[in-house]
Amino acid sequence: MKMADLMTHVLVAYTIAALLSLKYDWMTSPYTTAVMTGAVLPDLTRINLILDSALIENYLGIPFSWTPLHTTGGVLIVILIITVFIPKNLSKRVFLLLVLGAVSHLVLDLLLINASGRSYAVLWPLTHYHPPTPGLYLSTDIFPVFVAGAAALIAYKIKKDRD
Amino acid sequence: MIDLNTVKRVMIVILLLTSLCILFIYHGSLDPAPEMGAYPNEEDLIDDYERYIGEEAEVGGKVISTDPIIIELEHGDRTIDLELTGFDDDVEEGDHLSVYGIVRQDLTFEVKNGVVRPFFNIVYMYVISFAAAMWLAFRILSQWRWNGDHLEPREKPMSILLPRGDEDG
Repeated sequence: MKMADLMTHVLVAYTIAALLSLKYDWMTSPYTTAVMTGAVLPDLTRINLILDSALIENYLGIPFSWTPLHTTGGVLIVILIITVFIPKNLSKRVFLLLVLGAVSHLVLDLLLINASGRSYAVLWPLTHYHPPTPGLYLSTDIFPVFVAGAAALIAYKIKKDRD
Repeated sequence: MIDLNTVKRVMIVILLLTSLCILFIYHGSLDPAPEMGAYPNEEDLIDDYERYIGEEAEVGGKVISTDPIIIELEHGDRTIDLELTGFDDDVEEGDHLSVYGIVRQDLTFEVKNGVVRPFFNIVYMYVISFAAAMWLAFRILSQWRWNGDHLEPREKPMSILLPRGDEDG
């Protein structure tokens, strides 16, 4: 369960995007959504709930793990795949916004409480090193969504006032 | 006539998907690396318990008994029941318990640290995450469109899905 709840990730991404929109006029709703989309990509590992990696291993007879989706290398490939379908004149912008959202997700998950005190291999496949975690919250805690929700509301209000 | 641009994009996507599959297989083949913080997990213990006796491990599973505390480690359709020693926090059957410690003989585990996730909180996490996925799906559908060739932002959000217009972001 090396994930915060998805709502917290989406709200944090919304907050980041809303703050960016104060500086960049082109940062409209669709681009806010791009940052939010980037922030859910690492949790594509949850595909394991439907297609269990252990069953794939048994079926194919080869080792298999969805975990790379929740690492820098895997999420970067997923973002590149999405970017292929974005018009050329927007692809660089959308790529960077998806990366921003994904990085926010990976960084938040580095703070999760873990029994061993070690986090996850965020930079894989560059390194399998699991950095120590400060252990701020659990993926199943309820308070992070309120903190993220308050931040998103404040960012929304600031943006509204400026508009 | 075949659109060269389309062929190029298909090739790039195939290349990227292949790279992703290589990562899935490569990661699946990795051995634990405790020196890197990658301790043996449920899969490792289920595959070859004897190999890890006396070593540090980090595993998690559903609490199936509270006295003594026993958790069920699961990997696919294979499970083992692990009896915990040295852990006396309050837990209830159905909670999820992650533990770090030493693998001992006879399917016992000496806990150095444990983290309890109550059943209610696990349900909460799935419900709130599902709500977030739905919210994002609506935003994507209402703000982006497939023009037959690319995904592009809509000039105006689709009104059925976002009746109050473009006021939330």
